[in-house]
Amino acid sequence: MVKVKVNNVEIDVPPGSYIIDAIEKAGFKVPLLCYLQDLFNEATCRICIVKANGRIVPSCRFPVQEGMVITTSDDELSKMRKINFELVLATHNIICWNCYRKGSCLLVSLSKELGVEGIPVCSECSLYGDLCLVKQGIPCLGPLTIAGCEAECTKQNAPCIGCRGFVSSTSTWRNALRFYKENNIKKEDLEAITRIFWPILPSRFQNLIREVYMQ
Amino acid sequence: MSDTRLELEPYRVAGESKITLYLKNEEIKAEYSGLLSERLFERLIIGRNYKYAPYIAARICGVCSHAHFWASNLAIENALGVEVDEVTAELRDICNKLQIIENHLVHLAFLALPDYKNLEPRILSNVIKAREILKNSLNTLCGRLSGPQPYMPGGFLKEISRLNIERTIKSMENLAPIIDLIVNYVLNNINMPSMNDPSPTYLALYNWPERSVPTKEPYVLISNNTKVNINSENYLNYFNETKPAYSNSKTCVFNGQVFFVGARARILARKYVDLSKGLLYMLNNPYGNIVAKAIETQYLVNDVINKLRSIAGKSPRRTLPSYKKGKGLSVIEAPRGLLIHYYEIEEDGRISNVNILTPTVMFTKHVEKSVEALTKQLYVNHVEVDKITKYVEMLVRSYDPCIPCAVHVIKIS
Repeated sequence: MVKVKVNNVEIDVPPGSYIIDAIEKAGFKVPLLCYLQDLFNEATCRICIVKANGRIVPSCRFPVQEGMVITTSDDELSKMRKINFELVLATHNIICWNCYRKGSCLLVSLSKELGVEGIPVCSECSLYGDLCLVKQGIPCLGPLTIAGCEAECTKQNAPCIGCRGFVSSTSTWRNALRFYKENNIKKEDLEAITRIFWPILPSRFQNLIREVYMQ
Repeated sequence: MSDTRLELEPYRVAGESKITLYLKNEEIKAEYSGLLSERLFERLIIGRNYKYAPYIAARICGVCSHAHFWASNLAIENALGVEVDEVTAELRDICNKLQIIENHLVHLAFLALPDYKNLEPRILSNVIKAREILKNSLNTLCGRLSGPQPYMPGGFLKEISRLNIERTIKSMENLAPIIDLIVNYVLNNINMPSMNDPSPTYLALYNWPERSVPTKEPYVLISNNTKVNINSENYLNYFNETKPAYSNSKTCVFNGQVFFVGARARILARKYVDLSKGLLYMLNNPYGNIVAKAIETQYLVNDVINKLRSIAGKSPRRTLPSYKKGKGLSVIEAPRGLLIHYYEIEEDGRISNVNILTPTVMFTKHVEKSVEALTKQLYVNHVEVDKITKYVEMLVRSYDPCIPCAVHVIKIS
């Protein structure tokens, strides 16, 4: 058996185990995204990073060593996990309003856990599907607003007015604007509702609105 | 007696305010001012579609957001000539009453009571419990406590189920004994300094709280047993707003008189509870607003239960308004007193003019007059300056002013 210390808890694990196994045995947790026990541990997402003897390593891929000191969370790790998650999110085509997962999605829960603001309110909306306000032709800022409010307004059948601020990803904006256009939401109506909380939109988004609606 | 200038910044009030006292021989002058900078809410609403005005208005105040939201919706409905059905009106009124109870509780337990007695842990835990029940009830009926958006001009956006109403009735029945406990504790533990109201003009909405606020103009106000009908055409003949140089908020007089609005004014103008001699004596004292709030809280809990029972099983209907040019006024009773919203809407749905009169603006002059009277009374009796400061702060707190509401109304030139 190999002796390791996880967050000052000393445990014995079989030789050849990965750090993630030791962490689980010690009763701690690290956020996971691409890892599937016994099936996939290619360390592609780098969300499960921990400090092993002071060195940052992916816990799903790194084997334990005798006397290893493992730290599962500190400021540096949180910051790096956040950056890694943002990179994952940047490559994801965000269309929560049309996604079959309907919010029961690892990306949504991880964005909440890590405090990354990239997922729109649609991921939390109870009006998903045919009841979607945008699909009914009502201007609603759900597809463009940062999630985290549990979609309190749309629960009341009221449109989201964007009080939590807008998602900053241009690709999400492009997808959302196409969604608005498909559902016959007028450009003027969309601009009117954005002006409640976002009176000055960055020029890239203003240009994007023009570009999508011109097509 | 030498010239003295005292500047007090009372804590435990909503927002930042300052009261400046000028003491010169027998002349005493008080200036009550809001210290927050301009919030420009009226200007923010102008130029937008009427649909979005209530959402912005609701954000004037975090603790009375339902009152502003409702008043804004009601004024727009009046401007567009839409009248909602009785159930909608009643439900809106119930939501507002729940917010009034919540506001009163916070004021009584956390703002006013510590002037008289240290808060006991059992009372504190009951206040927290009561707030939780009220928050959940509001969530069940109309979304959030703060920044609500359950309806638009025309009616509720979502059906209020019978189950939700029954659940709220049950919550209110559980709340009633907790409220009784808190209110009795407050009433038994306050020992108000005696003084008479220097300007006993009280203004309240006629028929409220027994009946819900009317769904259309005119609104009947009652002041010193006289009824006044006000509508969008004539309301400025009665209410005269001015902006003093020393404050960021406006002040207001009614028919040229300094007046009071709020729980004490509602009870004294409407007399909707039995007024014994002792109670009347307490309510004639400006400090008595605390007593009035306590009595009103108890009354409103039972009133909400009865009103909910009367609408159980009925569903609110929604009327879709169409774009129409017009102007509309709404008058409701907010936690701190009368709240007036006025809107002018153009043919394309844009809002061209807004005027919002908040309760704190209405009673600012009353605060100044009462503070002057109190200071004079204490000064004549040679009370030390430290004690004067304490009593003045207690007096301001008993009014429960809300400065964020009051400073939204500045015009920029």
